[in-house]
Amino acid sequence: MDKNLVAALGFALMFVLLMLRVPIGIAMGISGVLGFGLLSGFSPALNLLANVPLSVLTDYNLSVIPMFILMGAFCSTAGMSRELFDAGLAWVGHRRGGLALAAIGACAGFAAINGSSVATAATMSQVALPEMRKAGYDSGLSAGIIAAGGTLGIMIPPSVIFVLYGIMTETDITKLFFAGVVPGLLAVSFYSALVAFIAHRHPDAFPAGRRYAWRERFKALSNLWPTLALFLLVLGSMYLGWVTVTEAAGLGATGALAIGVLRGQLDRRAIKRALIDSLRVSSAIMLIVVGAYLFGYFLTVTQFTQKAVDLLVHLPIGAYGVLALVMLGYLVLGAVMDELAMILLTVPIVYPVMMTLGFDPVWFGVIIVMAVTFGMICPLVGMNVFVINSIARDISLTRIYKGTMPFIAVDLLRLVLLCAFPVISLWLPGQLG
Amino acid sequence: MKRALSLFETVAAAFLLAIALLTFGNVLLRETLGRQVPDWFDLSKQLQAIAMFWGIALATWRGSHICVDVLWEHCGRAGRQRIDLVATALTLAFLVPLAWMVWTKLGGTGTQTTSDLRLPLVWFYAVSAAGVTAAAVLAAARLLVLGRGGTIIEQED
Repeated sequence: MDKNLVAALGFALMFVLLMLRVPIGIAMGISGVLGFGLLSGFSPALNLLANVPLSVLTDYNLSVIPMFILMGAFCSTAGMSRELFDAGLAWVGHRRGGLALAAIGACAGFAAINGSSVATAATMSQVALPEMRKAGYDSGLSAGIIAAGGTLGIMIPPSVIFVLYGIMTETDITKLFFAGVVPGLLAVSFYSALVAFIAHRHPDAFPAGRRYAWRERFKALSNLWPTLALFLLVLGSMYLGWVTVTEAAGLGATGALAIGVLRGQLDRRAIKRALIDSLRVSSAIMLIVVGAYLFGYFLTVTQFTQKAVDLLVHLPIGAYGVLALVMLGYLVLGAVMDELAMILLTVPIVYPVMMTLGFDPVWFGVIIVMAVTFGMICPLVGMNVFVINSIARDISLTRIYKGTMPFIAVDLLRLVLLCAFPVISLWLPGQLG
Repeated sequence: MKRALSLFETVAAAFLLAIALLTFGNVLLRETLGRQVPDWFDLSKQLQAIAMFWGIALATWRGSHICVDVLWEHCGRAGRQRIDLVATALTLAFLVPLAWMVWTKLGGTGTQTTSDLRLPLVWFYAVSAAGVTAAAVLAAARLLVLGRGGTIIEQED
């Protein structure tokens, strides 16, 4: 059969299966194996099933994913997210928009100890959203703030998306992590400035809270040492070259457990809950990785990747024109697809194009995370929005999406800045040598 | 059944903790005594595969895999049930050959062992294969429940 036709059929089948709510990993796996079978024979296709899942799931490099998820689960169960929010509340809660600023700060802090955008949004929905609503904040806007703040989870290290991108493209994950720090802080600044602007224009949307005494403020601040310690343990040990990224993730998980137990915040039941949560999230992600590998083999035999690369590289619109086109593609894909599937499906095609056009692999990692960010908070499949809606059922999806719109606007501005000034992303990893 | 699944899940989840502790212990030994935990690398890999296969099995039963809900969200109760039925049938259609092929792979493992302790790899592969078989069986059970008009609580503890 014609390879182009089979490639098109493979993609079409996958999208039909996705629409039928077949798990993403399995939809990719079915399309990949069937397509591979059509072109190479069904015996080799079955061999793929024998080898790929086992080799993916026994890949030690991928253990970084469950380990960072475990670290985040221990931190969340131990109540570190609440401590982050409380500290922000104590320091800026008395200002108009203070709770929103505290929520953004807490999202950034929690992002530094977990690698998932959805986990950050889910945790903060339970911690910050009820407080903001109780204080009389506009509920749609509050939910929008949490949804946007949640995206910091994949930009500020550690980040599961950076890990996947690094593994797929063989880019140094430590450098990717450090490249995400300044753009993450830039996001915090932009979101905070936006909140201040809204509070100034619409004072009723963000009422001021009570003023905390200095003693209370410093007490709240002193509770942040575990977050700081874990962040330094993970990033510091990687920076100093003591451990690999995978080992740093294991250290982080063990460190979070030890801190939680020593502070009396993690008993046997809480540890079990964190472990089970981690298993559920990790296995869901790993199934997608398995599916993506199966689909990847199919794409290889169709030579679709090479053809797509050739087509994109030779478009008469220049390197930045191609980049803009790719970003547009991500915006469209983000409307219907989960961020992990998007990364796993597109990076093998898009990455060689960007490298051929002369872009930096670390910088492009940051740009691709930014692109994925939009998918997390834009209609139709904004995962963060869905998560918040599942926790706060009385805030409709439409209201949450409306609340995210101002943040999408500043994210677009941030994306343009990151594209125009690669030094924003590359300065810090450049210091690693 | 609920109790058995909960037990399997707890054991699989405990393997994640074991990987974290193995990694931590190995880094500690390496940095302090210049030694390593025997088989930490092979054990971590195999425990990860076992945990993930069993995690996938339990997520299949609960229907808690990551899916695209665009169409499903816009359907009524009957429509959602039909979509869930089709999705589960397709999941089963994928998992059955997968389980069969993982057992085939297990048969070809022969006398391979871990690097340090010389533990037969076939032991670990067998537990992984049991996990993927459980996934297929649980997909069939889910199909049966959904086919009879029943529901499965997604996040039961």
